[in-house]
Amino acid sequence: MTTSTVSLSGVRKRFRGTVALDGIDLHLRPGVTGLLGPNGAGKTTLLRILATVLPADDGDVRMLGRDPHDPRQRTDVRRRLGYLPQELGFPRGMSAFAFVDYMAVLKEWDDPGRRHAEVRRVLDQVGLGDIATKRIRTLSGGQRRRVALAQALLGSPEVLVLDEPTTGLDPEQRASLRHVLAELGRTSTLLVSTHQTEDVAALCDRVVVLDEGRVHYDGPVTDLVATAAGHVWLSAAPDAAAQVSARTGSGRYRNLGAGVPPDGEEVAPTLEDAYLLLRGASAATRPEVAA
Amino acid sequence: MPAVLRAAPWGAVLGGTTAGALLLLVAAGAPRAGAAFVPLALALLAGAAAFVLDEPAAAAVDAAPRSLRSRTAVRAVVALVPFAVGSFGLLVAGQHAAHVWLPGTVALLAGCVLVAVAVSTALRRRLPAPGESAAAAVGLSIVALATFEPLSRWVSVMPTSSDAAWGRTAAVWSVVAVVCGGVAAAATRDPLAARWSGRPRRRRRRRRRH
Amino acid sequence: MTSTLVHDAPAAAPASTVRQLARLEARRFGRHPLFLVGVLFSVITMVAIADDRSPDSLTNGVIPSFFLGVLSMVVSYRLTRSTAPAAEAVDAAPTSGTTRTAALCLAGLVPAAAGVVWLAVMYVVFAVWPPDAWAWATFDAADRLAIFTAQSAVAGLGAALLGVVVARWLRFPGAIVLAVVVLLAWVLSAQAVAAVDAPSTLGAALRMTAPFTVWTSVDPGSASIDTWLGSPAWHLLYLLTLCALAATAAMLRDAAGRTRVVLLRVGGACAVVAVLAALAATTGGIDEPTRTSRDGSTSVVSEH
Repeated sequence: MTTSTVSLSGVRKRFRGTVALDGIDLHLRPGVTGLLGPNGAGKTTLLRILATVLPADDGDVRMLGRDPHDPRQRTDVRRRLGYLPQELGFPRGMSAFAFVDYMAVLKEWDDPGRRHAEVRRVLDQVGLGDIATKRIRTLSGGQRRRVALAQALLGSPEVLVLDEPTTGLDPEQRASLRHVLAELGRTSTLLVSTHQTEDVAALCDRVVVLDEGRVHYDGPVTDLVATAAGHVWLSAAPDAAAQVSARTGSGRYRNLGAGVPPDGEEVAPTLEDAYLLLRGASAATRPEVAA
Repeated sequence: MPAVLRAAPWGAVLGGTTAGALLLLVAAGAPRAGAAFVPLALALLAGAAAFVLDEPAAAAVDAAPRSLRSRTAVRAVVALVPFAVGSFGLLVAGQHAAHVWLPGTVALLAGCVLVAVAVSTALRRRLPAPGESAAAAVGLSIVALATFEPLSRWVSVMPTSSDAAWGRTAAVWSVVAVVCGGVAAAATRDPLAARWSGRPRRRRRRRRRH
Repeated sequence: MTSTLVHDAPAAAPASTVRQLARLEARRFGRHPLFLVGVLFSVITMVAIADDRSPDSLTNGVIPSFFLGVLSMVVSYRLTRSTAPAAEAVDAAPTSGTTRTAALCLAGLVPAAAGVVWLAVMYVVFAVWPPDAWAWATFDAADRLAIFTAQSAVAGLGAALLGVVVARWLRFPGAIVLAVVVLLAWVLSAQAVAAVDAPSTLGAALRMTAPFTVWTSVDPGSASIDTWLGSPAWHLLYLLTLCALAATAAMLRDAAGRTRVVLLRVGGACAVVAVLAALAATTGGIDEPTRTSRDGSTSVVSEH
């Protein structure tokens, strides 16, 4: 059995009386793990703790066998860590190359020749090789997101913590990014927080669902999808008894729930169906729910 | 208070204003040496005024139906705070320091505040929060002008005492005020309107050639 | 997009990281428009005063003090704050905040170097258009070198370090404008007190503890030069310890553990040396204000 590269036991975090994380137990091994959850579930707090920029109030955190609370061990962890924050600003006037080069220096790539080669490699990896010398403020939102991603990929880190990496990317870029991350996931431990369930379905072999600071599901993506089997139906009219009922592009309604709607046709569930069913009652308040 | 004013960066404006007022009180407390502090106080008060147009949510606000010019005009009202507080500070300093001539220095304060707002207005087209840059540029320029007096052969740009040649100074600042008004008017033009008004002009030129 | 797996995480010594980072920051400093404006204005004023026959050569040093010093303070503040939007990613890098601050402090050598160049050119100008001997008042060559070094190279270095300190410790909008005004108020009040009451020890103490200090006052009719109290050499030492103190204070912001203890000790030592140097600068050197006339005669100024 492979030992965990990332291990959290009973991790708690509060912000002025608000419980952000409430006893998280999580053990990650090399591979790509998706992190799903509604807004305010505690995903970003969890990722910031894993990125060693936020200390946990309580519980045990081990990254690559080291304790990030110890300054020396934290530095050691950071040498082997890549982190893409949810929102990343850039210094004014810097080009994409200059910014990633700056980050590379901070990541202790001290040999200029090797560093520049590595910067070019990661910029190529995210498809920005041709516009690397352009100033970041002239780039589009998706291109800026890829600059942010490039700095996280420097040195192909052993642990990669990505907070909504596909935000702002077009479908082609998303597919390409999935390919890059899947390759990295062969040897590195990736934790990807996203609201895009299709990204998780396409990329991850494991998914963690977080809600109100607690882990609600932790297991293989296929197992989560399997929990929705027999609960997804297409019908001509919305089913009032369904947990979630949403109009599809064909004009028919996709109903999630235990009951079978009149003239209902059972269809194969997706990860989104399974996630919404798991969310249960709170998902029923979503605006697309038919009255 | 209107929402547009509520969204103003009051912390920066009041912070700079307080610092400027304190410096003027120091000037009042040290009559013989205090006149040197007046330009520094003017720099701080102008710096405070430079923040009035900061709008971190510019991307959303710029798409609102209320025009940039109207929003700028409402926000510029906030600049009256450093002006009013500064004027009172100058009144106190003027009473205690014989070298500070009140009407002239209040007019100078008005000019400095006007320049700060105009620079912010110009920068606001490119930056959502131009305050810090504008404050640094205007504040440093005021201090440099007062310290080195580069135009002293012709005119005293930042005098404080009543025996200075205020006539020339007033002429210079009148020109500055007109330029500031022009800059503010140009910088708050609707960018789309500017684009549309450019087309007929080009057409007219072509017709003349034919 | 292509994908290659490279698992060669570099193992770097902190010293080389500081060197690389300092090189990057120095390049950013040297290319900053505000610094270039400062250099340009220093050059313009230098050209303007090159063949100026007025006897205030000793006060010319305040020109780089302002243009290189104050503008460098703003530049280093802006460079330090420029990475704030990327703080989340920067903080997750192995290079500590203390190391990043150390690199920014080292970038202060750029305005210091510009000050050295200004100083060298100034001496060339003095060689080509030598001022009248009485214009140096009672200061000998060593004093003059200490005065000009303090007003150019050390002013550039110190102001740049002060900019880093302000950026690291003060996190409110307009902090740098306030800091510049406070600095200049300090400088001006010190000069003003000395101008009003030249023999006063308080005036001397204020001048000797302030940066950008002026040492002489030229009579409006350029008939005589008043020399104020103090020792230029001790004042230079005082300013250098202030520089060390500023760098220490800036690095202290993010320091933890042993580094913090070491920095606190260094800071304490610098503070002690600074106090002693300020005392020596106030009590040493010129102990009576003097007035030097065009004919070279010198008299003691008893009251203003």
